[in-house]
Amino acid sequence: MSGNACSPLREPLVLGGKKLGDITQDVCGSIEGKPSTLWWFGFLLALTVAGIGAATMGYQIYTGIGTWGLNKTVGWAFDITNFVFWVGIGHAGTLISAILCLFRQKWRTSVNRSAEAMTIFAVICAAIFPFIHMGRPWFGAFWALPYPNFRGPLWVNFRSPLLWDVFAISTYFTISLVFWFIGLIPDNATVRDRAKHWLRRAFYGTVSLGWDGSVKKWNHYETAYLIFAGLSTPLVVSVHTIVSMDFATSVIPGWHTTIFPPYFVIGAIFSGFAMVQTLLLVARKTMRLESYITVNHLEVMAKIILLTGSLVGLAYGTEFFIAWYSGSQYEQFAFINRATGPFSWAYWIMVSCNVLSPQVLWFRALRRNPVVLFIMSIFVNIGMWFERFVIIVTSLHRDFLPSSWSYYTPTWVEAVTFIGTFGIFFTCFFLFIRLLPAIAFGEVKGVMKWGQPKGHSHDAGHSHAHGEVKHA
Amino acid sequence: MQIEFNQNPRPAQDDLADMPAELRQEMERVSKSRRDFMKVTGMAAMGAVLAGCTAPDRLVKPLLKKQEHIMPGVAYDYASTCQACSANCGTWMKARDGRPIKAEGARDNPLNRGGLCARGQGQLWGLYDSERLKGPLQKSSPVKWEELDAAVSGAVKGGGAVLLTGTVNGACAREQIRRFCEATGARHVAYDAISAWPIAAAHKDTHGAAVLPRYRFELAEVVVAIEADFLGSWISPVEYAAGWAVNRDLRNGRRTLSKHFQLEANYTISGANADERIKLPAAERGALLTALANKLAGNTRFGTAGAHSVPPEKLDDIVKAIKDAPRKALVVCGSDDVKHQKLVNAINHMAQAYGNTVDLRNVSQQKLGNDDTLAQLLKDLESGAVKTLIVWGANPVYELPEGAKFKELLAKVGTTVAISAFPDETTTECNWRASADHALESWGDFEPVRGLHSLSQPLVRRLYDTRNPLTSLLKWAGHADGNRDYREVLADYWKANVLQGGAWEAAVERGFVDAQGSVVTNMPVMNEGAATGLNAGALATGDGLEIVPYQSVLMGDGSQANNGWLHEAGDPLTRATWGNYVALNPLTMKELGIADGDDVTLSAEAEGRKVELKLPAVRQPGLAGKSAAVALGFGRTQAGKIVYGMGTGALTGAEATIGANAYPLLARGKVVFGTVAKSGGNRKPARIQEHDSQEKRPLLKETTLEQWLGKPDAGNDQHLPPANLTLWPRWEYNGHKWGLVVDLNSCTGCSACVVACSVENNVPVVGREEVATRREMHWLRMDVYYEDDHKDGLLTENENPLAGFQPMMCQHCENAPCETVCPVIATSHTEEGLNSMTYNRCIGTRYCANNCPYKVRRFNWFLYKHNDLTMNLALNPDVTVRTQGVMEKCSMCAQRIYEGKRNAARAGVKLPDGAIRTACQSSCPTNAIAFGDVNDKDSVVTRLLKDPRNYAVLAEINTRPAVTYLTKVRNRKAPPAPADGHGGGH
Repeated sequence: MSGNACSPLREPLVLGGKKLGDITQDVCGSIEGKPSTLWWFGFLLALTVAGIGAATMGYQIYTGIGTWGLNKTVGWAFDITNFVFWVGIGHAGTLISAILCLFRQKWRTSVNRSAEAMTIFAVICAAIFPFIHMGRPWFGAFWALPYPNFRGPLWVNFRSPLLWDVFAISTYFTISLVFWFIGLIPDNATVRDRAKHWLRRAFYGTVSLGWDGSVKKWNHYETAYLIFAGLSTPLVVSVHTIVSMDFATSVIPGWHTTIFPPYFVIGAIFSGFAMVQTLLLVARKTMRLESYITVNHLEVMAKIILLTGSLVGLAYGTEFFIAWYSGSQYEQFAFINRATGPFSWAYWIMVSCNVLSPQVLWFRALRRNPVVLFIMSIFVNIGMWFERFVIIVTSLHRDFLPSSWSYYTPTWVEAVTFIGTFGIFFTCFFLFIRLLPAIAFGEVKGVMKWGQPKGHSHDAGHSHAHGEVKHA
Repeated sequence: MQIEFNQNPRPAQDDLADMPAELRQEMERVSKSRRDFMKVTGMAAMGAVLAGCTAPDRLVKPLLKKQEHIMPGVAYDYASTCQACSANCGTWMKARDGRPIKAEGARDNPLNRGGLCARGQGQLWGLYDSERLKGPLQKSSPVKWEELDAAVSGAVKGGGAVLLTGTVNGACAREQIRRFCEATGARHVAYDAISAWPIAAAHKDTHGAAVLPRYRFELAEVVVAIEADFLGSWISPVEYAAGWAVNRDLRNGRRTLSKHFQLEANYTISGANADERIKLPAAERGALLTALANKLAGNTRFGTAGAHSVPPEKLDDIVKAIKDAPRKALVVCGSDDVKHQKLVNAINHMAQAYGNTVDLRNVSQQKLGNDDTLAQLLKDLESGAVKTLIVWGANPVYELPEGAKFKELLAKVGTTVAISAFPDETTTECNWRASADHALESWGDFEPVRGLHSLSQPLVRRLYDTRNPLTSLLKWAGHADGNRDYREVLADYWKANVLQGGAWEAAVERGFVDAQGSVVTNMPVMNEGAATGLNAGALATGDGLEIVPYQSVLMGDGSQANNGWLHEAGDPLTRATWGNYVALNPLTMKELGIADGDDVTLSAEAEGRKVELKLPAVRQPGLAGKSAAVALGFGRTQAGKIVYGMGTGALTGAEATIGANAYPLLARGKVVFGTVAKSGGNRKPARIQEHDSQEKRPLLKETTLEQWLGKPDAGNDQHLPPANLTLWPRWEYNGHKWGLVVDLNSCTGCSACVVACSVENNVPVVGREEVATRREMHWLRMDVYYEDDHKDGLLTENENPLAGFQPMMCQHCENAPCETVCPVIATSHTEEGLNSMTYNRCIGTRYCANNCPYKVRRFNWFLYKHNDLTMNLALNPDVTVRTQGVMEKCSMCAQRIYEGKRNAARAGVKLPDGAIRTACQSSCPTNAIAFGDVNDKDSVVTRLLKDPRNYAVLAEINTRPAVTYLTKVRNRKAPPAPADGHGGGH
């Protein structure tokens, strides 16, 4: 119970009776020694998969989109499904670091660093797809950006949701990256101070921007952190809202739906938390971080997954209701076709994974069981990928004119490209946990009693109010 | 986004405007005439090709030194005659910088009246086909013409020579054949792969003249077609379709429709377009015809009719319709049984059709083959009486039912000579191969209808070392004319025999001489006795399924098998491309346990030949029960690379060819029975359209004549949301605003427009595998929808659905869903109401294609290469060739619009309505497509937009298309079931 800055009635956020020095040692120690064999194995595997993925993308860009299974009717499938999937994954990171920060949810401190890293890597993976899905990415890479040029009236089209995506994703990526970097500064300084080799000192010295732990610096730091949390908060809502408009502003039945913005945001948070769980469950086991990423943390996240999963289920139901209520035969057909047409298998995978599987979390024992949570999080990841697949492919493959109805079968190129992005994601993640403090220990210390201002009783309920002020 | 173009741009080279008036007149004259072809040809651009030619007989000048009559970069039309089949329609060939790039139907030709079928459009592929015969050969080794000539003339002088040809109907050509036969003692035998001899033979008995009458559909108020796909493939489809459409066109204030009955076993586009389609198994033709003749006669003098399956009330309907329209009914029949044809003659006689809808004066010469002489030839070949056989314009090894036997017999003949432009199954069996000019390289004449003389002129200098076939014959006959240019021989003959004082050059300019009125014949009189007591009423019997071989609309007799455009256009009814298949009724399939796309083996015995074909099975609703239909013209083995489906090349040889040869299944006058059994495997045919029901959506709207007469917007009374709901400001069209209106009532689904569009707009041919991946590139496709009262693609017990066709291309929406979603404005709205693509700007996100409700946008999945380098000469220089990763679609022939506006600006006149014709419009045999300026109050499209039948597809999503359609109206009783109260029959 000692060492925690919360009510004695609550379970502590950090277990194991850790002292401040223990925390520093636990986190920094893991990046100071030589990497373990397990790390090497994981890293090289991820790098190999990433390399194969990159080579496949190169082959596809050179040969043409024809190497994919797309056709005259289905113009998007794996590409945009993967894009939305990865963007969605990123959302949990921003939600944890920004919104939960503003809401002073202290449990976030031990998971926010990895969640933010996940956001950045997921957005990198997501950004690959808009690039490679273009027929001529070598032109698209710069024609889709608005900048002064000599091409006369040919500028970008501000009416196109794809252009909104360009802005949404680049803003999201920039802010997430800066937010993450600022959060890292005090911890990087600690690593610098512990470093023995001049190269380490130089590297961590650079990325800690001359941090000296003075009160003035802390004051600036806290202010900046809050500002970025404030800036990031609307992005949680806006990015996926804009992504959803790729579909919502179109005329295709199944896409042309006003429910999409909230539906997509909830889905993104849902999938993001599932991915955070997947990663943390692995990390806490392999890196022995059970004291920091406690079962309590997992349970809180499981509750969010249960809530968002049920909201997603509500959205699925609402779509069907509105399709019936609209009286539009095209709209009605699109939804009946989803559930009963040639792609019904994908629809029912989606419903089982997203709506049914989280229902086990109503039981306390199950949502505190890491094994159950891990399996469930994988189901949700799969289900949310299929959600985007269902929206994109089943809407396209049978739209207005039955003469154009078709089917879609992916090729190996699409499958390998998708797997390759996991390689890229995990390569980044493995590098991150070796190079940077994977837990924001500066903040973790702040949620322990030593982090509280002197003169206040650590067991006073209102100590929450000061929780964000920390000392090294 | 709107991109501005000049209203009527001046030509880029403004010196044209300053041209002296007489020179300008001369230019305009040349644009129609073809005075001196040699001066016109021989472009620098052709240098590479021409380098292979020897001894040019005229000086070839590069365009660097400008020719007097030709403007670089300007296309000129030259009148000629289509030789894709022996219907011999008139064409206006468009040539630019010395190379032909497009065939159009001649609008002044009394035969085809402006239309040109898919196969006619596809001729161009043959010209540039690099697998043509490029020079004279002995077996497969190149020889000099002198060697070949010496050998062949020596052989023909030895006696026992036979000249075997297809239909040769030109007056001059026939005269040369006569001279050849006279000089050498050779015998001329003509046959047609798809014979019309039974009709001629029947007329020989009933009218005393073995002629094929000219059927005048334009005079027929009642059409009864029995197993004759006169709109798609039978004898002269463009001519017939144009005539048929005259009485089906409700756009000009007409309030009546002809009544069209189609009785057939196979499902054809004629059946799909009929008012009443009645399933008639092939075995019952004789019984039905006997019953019909008896009913019309009011007695049983035509014999006893066997039990046929046509309901008596339907038969009564037909009889009543014929009786109610004396002199205005027409019965045509495609049966190859002479007795059946005699019954048809009797019926037409009773309907007083002779002299009216059946013309025996200006008879058709489109099929001059004589099966009797062919049979005699086979006997002579067997007995060894034939010492020398010259084959010209025919491919008997492939297209005779007994082709395999013919091949063996050919080996026994001392000297065999093939005159052919292409390698084929017969040519490769002959000792001597005289490489012939392509139709677009040679002079020739034709007389498709007695009195209508038509000319063909070369559009390009010979690409290879080839020779006019008639020059070859004259040379071998030792005639002096063999050493003259055939043009001179032709001109002399025409001046003496055809022109009757008219000018040769004027005839060349126009392309034909119409002397139909001066034909004098003693009108043959019906010998009624010859048609009675035929006893043709018995049913044909046999075990298993009736086998119905038929000619497909696109492949015809198979002579154009090496043509990617035709293979890829897809059958209008099943939308299957690249190869033939065994078409089966869905119920038959169920009975036999065969699923759509399963590989099957068709086994049958025809005239003692055992035939086995391995093909995929295809579901064909409406096919007569217990029948299996197979298209002829596929399964060529020696036609070139294309017959392998343009695949990856992993398979070669016979196993890789697409389709199988069905000719051996033809049994003259007999019905063949056989079995169809699953053979394992599922090599699904590559289809362009996989779902043929409208799902009760109001897309292809249809009504009946009765309903339309009572309510002009019958079938088109859909409730629509207000049209002014839009996020963006409405476009303003101050100059032109282009519009296109398709009359679904005239459209027959013949797919000429599909091929015309591909040729005009350089649409790539992607091959069988890519079509199977659903990536064909057509800018204009022919959607087919069957009437749907069925579930799960399986029709109910007695199904016999009619079908409708809907040409679907970019609708050029005013509120275009594609335009708003493109991130880089690569697709934009012009100030003339077109939705235009900027290929250079396209980055290929495919968002536009996804958001297109009509799914008309096509993406370049790969860098599509053309078949070979010479094929690239067929590209239209006015249309950009698109690169990998770029979206493309119908531009409403923007290049033709600019050309039309330029011409009007140059002439200083307001653009006249009809001056611009899109490629699809000008190919249409039935004139179903109208194009023009909606801002012009008096234009045809403006008038058609006000027609109550006019509607926009998917108007309910408020895209406001510039392309609209006119409701289909059928002359039938049963009103089509309303589709959820939205109208629309399918």
